[in-house]
Amino acid sequence: MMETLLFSQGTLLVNQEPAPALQSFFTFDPRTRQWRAPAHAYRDILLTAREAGISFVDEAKGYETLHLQLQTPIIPRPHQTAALDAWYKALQKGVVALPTGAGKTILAVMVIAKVQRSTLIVVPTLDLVQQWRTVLAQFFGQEIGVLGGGERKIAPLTVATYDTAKLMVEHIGNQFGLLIVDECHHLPAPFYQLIGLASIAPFRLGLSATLERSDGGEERLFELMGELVYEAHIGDMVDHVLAPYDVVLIEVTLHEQERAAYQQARGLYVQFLRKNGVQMGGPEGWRRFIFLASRNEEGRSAFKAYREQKHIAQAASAKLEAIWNILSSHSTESTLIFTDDNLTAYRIGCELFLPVLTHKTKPQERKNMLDAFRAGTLKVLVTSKVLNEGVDVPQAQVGVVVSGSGVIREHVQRLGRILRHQPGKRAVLYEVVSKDTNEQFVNQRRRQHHAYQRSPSV
Amino acid sequence: MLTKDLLRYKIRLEKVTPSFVDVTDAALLAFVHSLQTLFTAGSTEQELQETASQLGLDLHPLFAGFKKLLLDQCEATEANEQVETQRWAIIQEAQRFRQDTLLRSVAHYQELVSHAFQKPVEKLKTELYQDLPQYRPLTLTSSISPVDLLHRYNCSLMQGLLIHARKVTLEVGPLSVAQRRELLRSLKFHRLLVTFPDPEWKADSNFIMEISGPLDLFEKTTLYSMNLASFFPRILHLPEWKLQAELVLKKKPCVVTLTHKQGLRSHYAVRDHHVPEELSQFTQTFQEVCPDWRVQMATHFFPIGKNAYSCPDFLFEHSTGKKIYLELFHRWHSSQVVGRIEALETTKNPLILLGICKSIAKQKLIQEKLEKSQWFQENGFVFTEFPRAKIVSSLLESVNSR
Repeated sequence: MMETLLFSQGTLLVNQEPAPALQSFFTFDPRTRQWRAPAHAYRDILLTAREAGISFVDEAKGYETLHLQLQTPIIPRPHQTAALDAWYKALQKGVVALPTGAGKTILAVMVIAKVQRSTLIVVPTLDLVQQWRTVLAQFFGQEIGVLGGGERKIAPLTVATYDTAKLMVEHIGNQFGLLIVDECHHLPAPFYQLIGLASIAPFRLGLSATLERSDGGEERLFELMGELVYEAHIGDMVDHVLAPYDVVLIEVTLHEQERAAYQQARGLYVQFLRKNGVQMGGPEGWRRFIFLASRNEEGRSAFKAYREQKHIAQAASAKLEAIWNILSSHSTESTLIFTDDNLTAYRIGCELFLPVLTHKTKPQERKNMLDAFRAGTLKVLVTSKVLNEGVDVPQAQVGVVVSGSGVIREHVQRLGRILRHQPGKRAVLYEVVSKDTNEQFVNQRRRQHHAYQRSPSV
Repeated sequence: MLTKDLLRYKIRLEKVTPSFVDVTDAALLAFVHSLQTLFTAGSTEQELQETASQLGLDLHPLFAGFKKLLLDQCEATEANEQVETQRWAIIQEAQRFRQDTLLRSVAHYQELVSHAFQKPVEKLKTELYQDLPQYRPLTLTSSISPVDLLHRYNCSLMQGLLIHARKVTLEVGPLSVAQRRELLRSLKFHRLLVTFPDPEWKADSNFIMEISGPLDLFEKTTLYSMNLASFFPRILHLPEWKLQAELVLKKKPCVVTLTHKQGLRSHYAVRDHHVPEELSQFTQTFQEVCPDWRVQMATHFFPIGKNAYSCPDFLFEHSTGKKIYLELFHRWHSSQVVGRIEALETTKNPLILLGICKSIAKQKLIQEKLEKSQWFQENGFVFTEFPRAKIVSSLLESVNSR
């Protein structure tokens, strides 16, 4: 009897012992008395079966061959052509790393048009879902499926958030032949790996501006999406692809009362670290601090002090003056203001009567804010982290980092928001830092990227 | 479910001891009651926090955990749409001032905006984002007693730990057919699979099963830990059980063990385990009609492939030693009928017959399946309220003679 290959809950099943050539892919599952393989092995199973002359009934495949026509012709830039060629040579599998603004979405459109298979595009935020939906509808002239934000519509071209894709991939992982993962540095996170593992898509494209992960998860990413096939850096593209930019550091001084409160809280926190021999140089130190802080009243006070000193430095009142001065100097330019937390974002919004976009903003108002910002009718947007990645705001010319983490990726992504090329555009990124506080060290840590290793003006 | 930062436990020699609360602790019950009173006052989240601080409730080490559980049961009232309309008007007017006016200072700018809207600066600031969830009054969507909230805390604490589980082993004590069906149904609902060291599960003895997800076959992951955590409250319905979970906490492997003796209680509703009395009487009637067969309530269940299990109701043993099982489907588990027939069509051992209740046999999909299935024509029958002994006897003889 001919073997039948089935898709079930993110895995592939055969009901009888597989042919010898295929046995390395399958494991006997005593739980269901079937032979099982992870869904992502589909492509290798097919290729091996073909080479060995094994035929079977493929009931796993649930995707279609499409006949897409580009509605708007694309004239690719040289780096896009090079990236597409590299991806194709790598057997239509792999990761492409390009800086924000270098046209990753257009590259994806080129790949979809070339592969002509049902495609699932996975993106981190709802704003990006809408952005991709608009771009795909424009290029392919058809309705685009959406999974996320309350929508559950599957179409030959479907865009999903990571969160919804993770929940649904066990059911729909066989319905797409091409898997595109945007901002794919998120994929190795434990809960998101399932998206790559449980999908049968033989064709895979990972896109990112910042592949670096502090946990070394890049290897896992390459296992799931294919190797890094093409990479270009910001410095290589400034002027002809990306806007030239300046990075300006503004140091503000804490007011007297803030300084006293900062020193008191900082002293309490540092004293606790020293007493317990905690080195805060890496994630282990942080974990140990959290563990010790939860054990007794002294620990809880130290944790409270840690948060207080961080908040004082990040939300120093002098920063508001600095923001005001920046806005005054750039009153006609589109400006994004980034904070580390929502509280600071709303405080700035309330003090200066500015629009604030966070994950708490209702979907329709988010859309209205982004549309108005793109149209130039809103000149300023304050945000915490939701605009860090991917969202296309080409008009943004000025960025203000009021507070942030020491994560390099976050900082590079924020810089990327203002680098989309426009004729005559010169971008500027301001970093507002409280002088003589821990913020200065955080700032130095996040600048350890080649985008910041150049002269302040690029 | 409690989040990572709210989990309270101790680890010693790789053994995790969750810090469950004592559900009879009068002081804790009083504390929880005070918190609940705050939550029923229709305050905003911010007001709740302020009041809790004034009363010193937030100093309690369990405050954050109970606050999370209560917030999970709250809904913020609908936002006033006028706030958003006014916000946009203020933002646009403020932008106009920034672009068109020579501004001396922030204060000057704020004064201009304040004057334009005829409201004091502070009031404008306060109202600008007044429609955010934390500023909207909360209402509790369900009432829960202080004792139940303590039980919920303990269950949520264990669920929070299971989020870090890589492997879960469950040992269950004797279960009725209905309880076994419910357990297997819940596992399937949560997309979990089980490995049974013993292929037959006797209802009158303990049984050990390893619970995992499909991809766990290839590598130990925490991919299904959310499924495990969601499934956990179902275990609490079982009369006797012991759960052992291998966890990774703070990047180190450790083990947590829990049994029914710890008295955790589930907040999930208990499903109907109703077994009609007529079925219990069936054995007696059948024995009188058909003395060649010895009938008893079945005590086994069988994995029949494709993540399906048959839990027969009766075992018939012929005087020649031949054993045949009968599984009955009533209206309360109609969803499994088609799948069960398809699974049994390819299963030769053990020999299982199917009885389908007439009320579900009329359902379109099931009716089509019954008509088309050759297997069902030969091994199944439809009954009205409960199977008639003569029909079962006749089918048994037919199967026995093949």
